[in-house]
Amino acid sequence: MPSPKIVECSFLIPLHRDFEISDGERHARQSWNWLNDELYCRFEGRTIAPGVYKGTWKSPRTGKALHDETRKYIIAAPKTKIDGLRAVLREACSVFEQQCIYLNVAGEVEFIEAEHGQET
Amino acid sequence: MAKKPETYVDLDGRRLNLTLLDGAELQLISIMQKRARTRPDWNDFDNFWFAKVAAFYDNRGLSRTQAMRTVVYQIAQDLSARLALASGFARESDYRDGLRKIIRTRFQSRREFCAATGLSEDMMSHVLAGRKHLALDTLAQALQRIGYELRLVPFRTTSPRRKSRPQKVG
Repeated sequence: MPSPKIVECSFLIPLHRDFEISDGERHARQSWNWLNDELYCRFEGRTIAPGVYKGTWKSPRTGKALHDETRKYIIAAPKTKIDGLRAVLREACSVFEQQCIYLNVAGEVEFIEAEHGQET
Repeated sequence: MAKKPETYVDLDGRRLNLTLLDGAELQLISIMQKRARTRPDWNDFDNFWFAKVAAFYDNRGLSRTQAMRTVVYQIAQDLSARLALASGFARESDYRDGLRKIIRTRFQSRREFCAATGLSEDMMSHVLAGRKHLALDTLAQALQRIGYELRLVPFRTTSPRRKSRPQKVG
């Protein structure tokens, strides 16, 4: 039986809570622990890219350009686990108080949003 | 010869029992602590401990869920959190974080939480955005309605402003 195809996924977790839907504060340490737990139990491995990624995006709420600093996570995942990663990131939107999280699956970019009703 | 510590006290003040660990586990903790004491880059350290702990317990045949419950994993997380605090990448939680967690894990939405606690959605919006605080008695009454209570606990000595070193093991 052929082994499942593995693809590279990367996603960006901002170092601060969203300025528009939250208070722009740094995350509590427990939020980072939560992400470690989720990735540890669901995926064989993960890499955090060195340094802080600085970027700008346009808020769909206000149309304003927002700047953020993020941590970049890289995961090699079988295609069968990508929906699981999307589910983690949907919850991460709530845990890290983000409007959406940038996910790159084998070069294709998605913006993952919290499930309706899960926004805190 | 120095006596080996029997516990590791984490950032939440929990005393993790080291006496039931075998030599290889204690050695792994010692390796991680030595690395943490060099004040490495937080990302580097997170890559380091994740790989070490995963390889260690995968080789022992533990599932990842089982490994997450081990003292070694919890100490690794704690060391990472200490680095994040010390380097300013994370902060200690406050009561608002506790409220957020309750909303996220126990309720479908903030609206449902407000209905259950009797707090107004407008007030919660201000509180969670850091613009207002809840009065202590208001908070206590709201929490009581959903089966929670406020507690006072001793202040830990570690905070982003008061750097502390991870405890030495082995």
